[in-house]
Amino acid sequence: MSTVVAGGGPVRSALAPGRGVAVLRLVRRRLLWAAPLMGLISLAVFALAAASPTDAAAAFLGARDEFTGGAARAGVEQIVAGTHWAEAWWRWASGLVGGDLGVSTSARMPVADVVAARLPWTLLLMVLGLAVGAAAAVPLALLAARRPHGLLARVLTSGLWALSAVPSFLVAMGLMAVLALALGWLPTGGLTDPGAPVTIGQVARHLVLPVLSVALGQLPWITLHLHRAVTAQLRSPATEAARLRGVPERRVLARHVLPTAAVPTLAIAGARLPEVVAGSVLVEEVFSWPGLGQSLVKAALAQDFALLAACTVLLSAVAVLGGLLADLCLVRIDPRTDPDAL
Amino acid sequence: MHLHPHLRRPVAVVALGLAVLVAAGCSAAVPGQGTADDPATTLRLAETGEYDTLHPLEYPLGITSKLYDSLVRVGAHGVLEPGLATAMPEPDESLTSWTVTLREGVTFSDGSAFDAQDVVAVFDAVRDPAVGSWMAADYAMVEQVTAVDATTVRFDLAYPYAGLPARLTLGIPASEALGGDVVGSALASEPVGTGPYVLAEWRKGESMTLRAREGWWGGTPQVQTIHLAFVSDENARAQRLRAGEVDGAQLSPRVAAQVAGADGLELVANASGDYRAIPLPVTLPFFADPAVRVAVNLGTDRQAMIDGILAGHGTAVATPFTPAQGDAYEPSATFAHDPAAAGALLDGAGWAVGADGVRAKDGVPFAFTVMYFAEDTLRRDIAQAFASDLAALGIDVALEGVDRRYAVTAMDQKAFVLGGGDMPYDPDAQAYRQLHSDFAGFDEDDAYSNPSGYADPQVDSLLAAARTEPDPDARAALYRELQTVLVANPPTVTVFALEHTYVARGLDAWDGIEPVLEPHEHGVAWGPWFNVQEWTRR
Repeated sequence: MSTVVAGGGPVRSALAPGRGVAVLRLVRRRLLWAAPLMGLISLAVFALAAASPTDAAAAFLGARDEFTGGAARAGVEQIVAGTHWAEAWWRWASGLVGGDLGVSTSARMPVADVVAARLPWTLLLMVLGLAVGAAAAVPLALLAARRPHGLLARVLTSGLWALSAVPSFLVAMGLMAVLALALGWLPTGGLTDPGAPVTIGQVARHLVLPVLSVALGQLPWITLHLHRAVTAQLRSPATEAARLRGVPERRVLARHVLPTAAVPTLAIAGARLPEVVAGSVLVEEVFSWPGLGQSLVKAALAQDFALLAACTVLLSAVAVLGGLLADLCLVRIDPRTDPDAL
Repeated sequence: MHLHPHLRRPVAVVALGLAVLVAAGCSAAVPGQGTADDPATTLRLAETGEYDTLHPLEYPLGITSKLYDSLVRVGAHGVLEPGLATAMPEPDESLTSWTVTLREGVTFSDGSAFDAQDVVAVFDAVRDPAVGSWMAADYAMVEQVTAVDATTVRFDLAYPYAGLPARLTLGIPASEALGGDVVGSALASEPVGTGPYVLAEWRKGESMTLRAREGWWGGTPQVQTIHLAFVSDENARAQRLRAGEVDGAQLSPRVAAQVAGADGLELVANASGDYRAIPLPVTLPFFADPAVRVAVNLGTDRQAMIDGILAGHGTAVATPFTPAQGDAYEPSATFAHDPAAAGALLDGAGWAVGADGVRAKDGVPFAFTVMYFAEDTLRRDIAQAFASDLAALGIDVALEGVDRRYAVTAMDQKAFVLGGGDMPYDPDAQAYRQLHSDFAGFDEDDAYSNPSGYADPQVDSLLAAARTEPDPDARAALYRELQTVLVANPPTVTVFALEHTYVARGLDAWDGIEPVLEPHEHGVAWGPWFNVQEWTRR
């Protein structure tokens, strides 16, 4: 364990001897766990999708379902639902070993192509949304925590509770109505203007509203968690001690309050990461954002085993990595954390 | 507030990560062509959703009609006209052998030549169960397709069939590109057709760009570029229209009426064969009696539904036939809204109003359920209006929003708001499977065909006579007679045929815009844009 931090003294240095090895052990342990976990999850996805009450052929046909003569339906069913799920999983898993993710029945193209085309856009949206939400949450949480029973804090927390109850698509529609339609500042959707090439400038302009929607969805819980932790920390003996030693308030906040208060928030953030990705579906839908969310929903409704499994494994990987990342941050921020116990 | 020194490095890492993500995102999409499009020859349209596929064996009569040509095509007012055929298909006297002569010198977008082998290949594929085309059953009459020579194809049928030309509207891909079943075939995303446009770019999940094909056999289209943005949310579509980001979109009648008139936007409505009907399952005790089915039809206020649900954009019909079908439509075969006559018919049939206000006979209450697809608000509105019309007659209708999987299992016990009219260009395709007793038996795998379980020998014989009648006038007369039989013994409450409504701007810059009869399929491949390849600049 490193030394207790004193106000103006040297900051916690890099990891103490022995801790680096422990961190590597943590990473290796988590990654080793991940492989069988993914296998089990994909197996469960195939089994659950097969047991789900959706009809693969009807979903595949969509509106054409109603016009499909009985004799033609058999052919369609053979193609989209002709294999038992266990056999389908075995095929999928053995293909995966050889680097083949299979063919998506709902997208009518190789799963690898679907994921490659859409995943970057989802990640871009999510990471930016989360980053913006977190960046806005810090000053808000500090503001509210300065006077926890003041008017500002009460308005802010109740406003955030209300915001957290608003579905993300409503937030998105509201932002679109105000910023795009009424004021005309920003485009209403898509990746670029119709027909424009994909340039950073175009994408950036079209990214603003979706990112804001995602950020507003994340802002309440980050702020509220952070607010609670900061409030407690502001009045903790360690902080009081620092103040008594004459450490300026800004330094107290930056060194003593925020890092400690970030610990529980980070722990939750790692666990919430997959939820953030999955929650992108509606925002992507409203803004015609070409992410993976739309494909995921379609795949689930259509019993599109290959795409569904690929998406789920990806999401699980994000969860595992998110958890790992959060824990690594914890180890970094909080010297009392024992990597071997995580 | 300065950052904690140890928090600086993560910030840099995050920033770097974002830069990589942006770069990856940008490179993941095929870069645009780079050249600025001339707004005078470019259309920007918002489509109701992304296309599942561009395979012509999965997606007929849609955007694929820009990429593929067919032997016979849908022309102005929904009249069939030769496409890749030099003239309309010629039947022999028995209507069992049809000969088609093909255009010469036509090439596919990959440069290969179009000939009879391509026609044979696609019509073999559509009938092959292993290919998995949902239209396979629609080609049951075709026994063999033969390339007589490079420019002549013969269709030999299993039975005489007068409605074949409407089935030759199938898009024709290069035979080499067909490649296996509809899921695995590259045609789903890489079309190879002879059509007036080629796919320039498909940004999955977002948009698609079509470009005019130089030297298309019909003349290089003057509308050079079509951008299609996929916007499934109707409000978002209306908002993008008003913001001027797109020039046209399909909207429901009410939203279209709100949007049109301002911002240079005008409303365009096309008639369609797209009808909605409520089958009356004859397995239910009350619907066994034709008089009761007539009464329910008389009790339905179709015009109120059209005015209330469709803002007037619909045509009241009594059968699957619509006025847009010309000579085959019988104008007198309609139902007036006459609740008094309906009540009298129900009384006469023994369904008397009980103390609770609900009709009953021999202790059986006149109560049944109408199902609708839960996600389909139009069908929900129809079901609600129908239930309230019938409540006024003393009939108790329960409503049930269902999913597709459940609907097909219950259709013999519950009524259902049915959609019809996927192929309105021939009366046989529009009506046969809905009315013929061959499809009366309940089968979950074919639940949408004749969902009432209806059987009328006179209807059967008229349907059979009409599909084998070579003379067009005599054939139309048979269909008109059929409709008079249907209103005396109705299988369904057929409510209305929709008008598909679109909102567009800038149409006055073009000549050649024509109305068309639309099928159930809709979207920006239809509306004023259905013949965009033929528009000329004013």
